[in-house]
Amino acid sequence: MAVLVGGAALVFAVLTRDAADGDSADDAHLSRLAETYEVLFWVAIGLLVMTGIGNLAAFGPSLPSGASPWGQKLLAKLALVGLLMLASVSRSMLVATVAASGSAVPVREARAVLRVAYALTLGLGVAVLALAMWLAHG
Amino acid sequence: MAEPSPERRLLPWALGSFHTSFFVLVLIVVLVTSGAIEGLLSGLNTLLGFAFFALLWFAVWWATRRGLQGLDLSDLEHAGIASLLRRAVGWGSVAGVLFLAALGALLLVIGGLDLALRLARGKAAPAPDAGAIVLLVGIGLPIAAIVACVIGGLVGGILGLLDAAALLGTRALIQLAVRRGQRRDDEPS
Repeated sequence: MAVLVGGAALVFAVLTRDAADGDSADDAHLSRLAETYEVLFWVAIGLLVMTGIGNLAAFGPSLPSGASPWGQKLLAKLALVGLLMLASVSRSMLVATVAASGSAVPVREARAVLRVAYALTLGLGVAVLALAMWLAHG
Repeated sequence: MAEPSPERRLLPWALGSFHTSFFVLVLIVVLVTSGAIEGLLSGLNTLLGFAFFALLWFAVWWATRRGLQGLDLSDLEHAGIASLLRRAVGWGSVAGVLFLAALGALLLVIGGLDLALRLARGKAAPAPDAGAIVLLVGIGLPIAAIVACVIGGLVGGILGLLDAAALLGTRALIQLAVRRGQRRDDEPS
């Protein structure tokens, strides 16, 4: 979760700070940063799901049922994770397409779209984290 | 050697990981809502569960990478959605069979290790049942392969639809950015 939320915050901050001044070196660095985050994001999601199953298996018999308030919170968290994944497919495609398009997509507008995508990722990531903490404390 | 494009570097990994994680997430939701999760997961060894997930992740990533070969998703002019869906069904079937094969190999290794441990401890190993082996290899495995192929194709098709929706959304956003850029360029400074 640290990579997922912290990375999104970092890329969002860099996108917000850097003005679109047409500096191609900056663009290349930003593109590399976003691509690296995308690779790490999907590693983190895979590990999150994998360890989530591990937790469910470990606590399985003692867990409340799906119809209980705790079960409803768990389902809400899983739905949020699903939403995060769906939104992130578009974000990864966006990063790959912008990086591959060269000068075909204007830098300032591309950055504006990416900023919204990373803000959404950050918001959903924080919401998942908050629900996970709520679940952990009953 | 030329560096692969961002699309070739990133998309197979992103989509392969998305397919694996989303599929497993939906399975968990179904198990939690039906109440079957306790019985199913409590009997699962944690390390074995991790190994199953890792095998599925590898099989789906490999099939996704092969399925995306030669497909230019960043080409905004040509849709390629039909091709994407066809490949999703075909390579989903391959992923299903590959996962089954990898799972079979893993179980054989575990069985072999268990047998070796028994022999090392001087315990008598159970004699193999020739009839059961013939039934398993002759009937069980082909049926399992067909089921894995069908389920893989079905899941691949559904996930392909999600990929296509994400692709269309991405293209709409890119075109919006291009139009805004053109409008900005056209404005008198």
